[in-house]
Amino acid sequence: MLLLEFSPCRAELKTWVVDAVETFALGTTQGVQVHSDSLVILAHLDEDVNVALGRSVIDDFDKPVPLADGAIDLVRSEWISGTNHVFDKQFTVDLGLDRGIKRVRVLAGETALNQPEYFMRGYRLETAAQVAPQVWHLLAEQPDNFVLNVDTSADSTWAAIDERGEAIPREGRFVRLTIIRQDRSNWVALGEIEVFGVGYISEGFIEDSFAPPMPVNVGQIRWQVDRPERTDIELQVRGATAEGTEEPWGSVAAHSDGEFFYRGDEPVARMAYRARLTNSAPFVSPALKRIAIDYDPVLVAQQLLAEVVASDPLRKGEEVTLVCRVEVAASVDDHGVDLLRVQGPLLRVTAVRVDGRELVPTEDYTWDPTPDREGVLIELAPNEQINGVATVEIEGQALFVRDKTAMRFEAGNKAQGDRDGYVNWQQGQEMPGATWTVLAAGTPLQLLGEVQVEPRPFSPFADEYVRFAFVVGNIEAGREVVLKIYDLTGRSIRQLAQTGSARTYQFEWDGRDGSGRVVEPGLYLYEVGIEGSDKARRGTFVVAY
Amino acid sequence: MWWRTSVLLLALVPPVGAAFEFSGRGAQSTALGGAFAASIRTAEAVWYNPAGNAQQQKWQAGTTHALLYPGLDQSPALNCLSVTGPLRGGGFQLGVSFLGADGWREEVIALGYGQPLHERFALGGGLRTSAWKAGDLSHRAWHVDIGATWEVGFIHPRAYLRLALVAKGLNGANIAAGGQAAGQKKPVVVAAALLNWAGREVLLDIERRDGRTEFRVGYETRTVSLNGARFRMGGAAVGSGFDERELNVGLGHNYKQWHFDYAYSYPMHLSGYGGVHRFSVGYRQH
Repeated sequence: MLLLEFSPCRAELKTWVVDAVETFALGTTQGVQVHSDSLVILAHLDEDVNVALGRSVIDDFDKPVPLADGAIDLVRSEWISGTNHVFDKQFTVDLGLDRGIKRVRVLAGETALNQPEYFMRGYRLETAAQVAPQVWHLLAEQPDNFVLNVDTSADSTWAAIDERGEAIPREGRFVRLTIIRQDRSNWVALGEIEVFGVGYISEGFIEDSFAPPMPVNVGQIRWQVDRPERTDIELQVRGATAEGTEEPWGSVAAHSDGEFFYRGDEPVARMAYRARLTNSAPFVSPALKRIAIDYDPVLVAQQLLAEVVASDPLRKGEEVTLVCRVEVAASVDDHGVDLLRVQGPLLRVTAVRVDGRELVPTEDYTWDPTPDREGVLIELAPNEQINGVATVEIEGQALFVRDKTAMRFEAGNKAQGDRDGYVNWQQGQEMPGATWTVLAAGTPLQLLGEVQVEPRPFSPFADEYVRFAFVVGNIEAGREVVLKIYDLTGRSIRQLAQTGSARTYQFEWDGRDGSGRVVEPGLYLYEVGIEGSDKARRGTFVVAY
Repeated sequence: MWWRTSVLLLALVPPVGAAFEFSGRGAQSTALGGAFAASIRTAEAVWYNPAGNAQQQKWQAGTTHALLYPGLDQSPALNCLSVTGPLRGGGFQLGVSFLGADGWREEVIALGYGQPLHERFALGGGLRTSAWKAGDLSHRAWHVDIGATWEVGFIHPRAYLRLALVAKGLNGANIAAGGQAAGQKKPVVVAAALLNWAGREVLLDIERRDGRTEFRVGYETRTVSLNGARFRMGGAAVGSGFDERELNVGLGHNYKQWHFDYAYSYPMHLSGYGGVHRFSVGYRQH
């Protein structure tokens, strides 16, 4: 059952809500269960499932042994006892993740002569957790085994039982079998090591889709999860256009309740979600509580086709002239276009043309970098709003620092944003034969351009942050990009770092020193650089309040 | 050897300062690491100790231009003027300092008067006003300082000792335009000593500021090979473990009533900024 939520503050937006057992139960699931209390959680392990099946087993020479493939092998796991190859020989099963181990069963193999010979005279079973792989805990030990013919249909090894007769699971990723006794020379044939677990399985997903009556603009996606330690949830959303073109899954990893925006082509005729639940501990599961996807039946425009024209070849770290050409087809039923956003590089806009007519900056349009400084937002004056068919050209200077930059074009409407609380951007589609992926080559300098510091002056009480934005064009993997702040006398105030890659960086400082106190008004020094490099950009900024 | 002492000082010592207190310092005092609270009878004493000129007999004036961190595209510049002279049995001192940078202006005006109360003891008081302007915001604050010097005298046939104690900003003025608590300056206390050993001076200031202790040490000697020029060096250290350090060196030369000084400061953890250069010219009445 689908629930449509009509919020008074979003009069025009509708919402696809999945937040109850009956709505989650409509989805396709694998490895998860829909539960009345916690809604969607990982499924419990079936106690009859051998979790070692298909896993790797290695002997103490680090060689793989087919002891967990589900088939008792002839010859390959067979030795003549009384040799060094048998006594103290070890076989380790890697379960991949910590599991709750309830029972282990070791099955005898078959000898080459197909004779029921000695299984093993004595053996020990131990387990170790992935966080401490060298610390082994004893599961069971059978120092003397005089059963000559092992019954392979029954447990031949171990099950730990508490005083009430309940099995006691042991948490571990590795299970190790050690042969500890031999009596005389004979055949030893080891067939299979089986591990039976309890708790949750390690991975599962739920997915579902929804087709609105007409193509829509997908807006904000909100979701609620419970995510205990050592668990994770990843939510993926995708849409399909009226032509049937299905977007690849776009994913967002959840670390808490959150919200994000749809990034695929629009309008969307069918939208789908997929939530992937995982854990790395056997007795905890994440829980998916709610998914709400806003959509707007009123489009910004019927069609937005765009292409990017850049000089070729394009060198990394060098400013190039870029032209984004957008064919807009809007009708009276649409919101109309008065906001344009180009994502990818930071574009310094030099001209905006509509059907070849150059607009007047400030008067007809304004532009600003996006908050992450990896794009530009252009706002058209009310009299320049596009409500029909038009070709818009945005020209500017851009700097590329990656081998491959995937650009995006979006259009929006201010009135819709004011009414609904946020701008529901409509994603543009690539013009047939064109691509939005820009390739660049070369080895640029580590630090490119100037450091942009805003606001100036900065007041910790009036402004949330002072932002330092700059471009790193070249950085070794694993290095950090560091911002250091000093007072004018050189006293260190604060140091911030981000993991490095070639991109635009934006550091935010709240005006507090390392002990959390707001600094005094004054002139301060900053330094941005790359860990391990003596190249840096330095300057001053003002704190005033 | 004087240079051995100098190397030892460099190894042991470090220097640092703070907003507004950066203002005013001349080349002579900076080259000594800012360890100047026990130094008397110079115009620069106005920035360190209101009692520093209590026994002043002659008029003196000095001006300083400082270039801060030339490694920056837009380096801040500091200009200051200081004057001292005898007045009613004591010593009068005046200092004016301007610091300008991109989007920030600050000025400090200091006025002080010291009076000898005993042949070994002098007491002084000072009034400072500090003002800043940034964009549409500006603020002026007033600060009250007191200081004292104690002439211990010769503790050895060749060693003369002077002690000093200074308390700055006793009124806890607030330098925030909106009066936010974060802008309140807490009083600063400085205990200082000057030891003159056969014409060479070793100075030590220990400053307590907002829970932090700063050590400043300076050394000055006269080099005959440079025609009587005075060579100075100093350092300061602050922070937990005194991990923020600054080294200073300087040279001064007197020509008749004029004296010329240069100092270079290098905060050791601010490599790449180019340090701070100070040039001072002074005049002393005969």
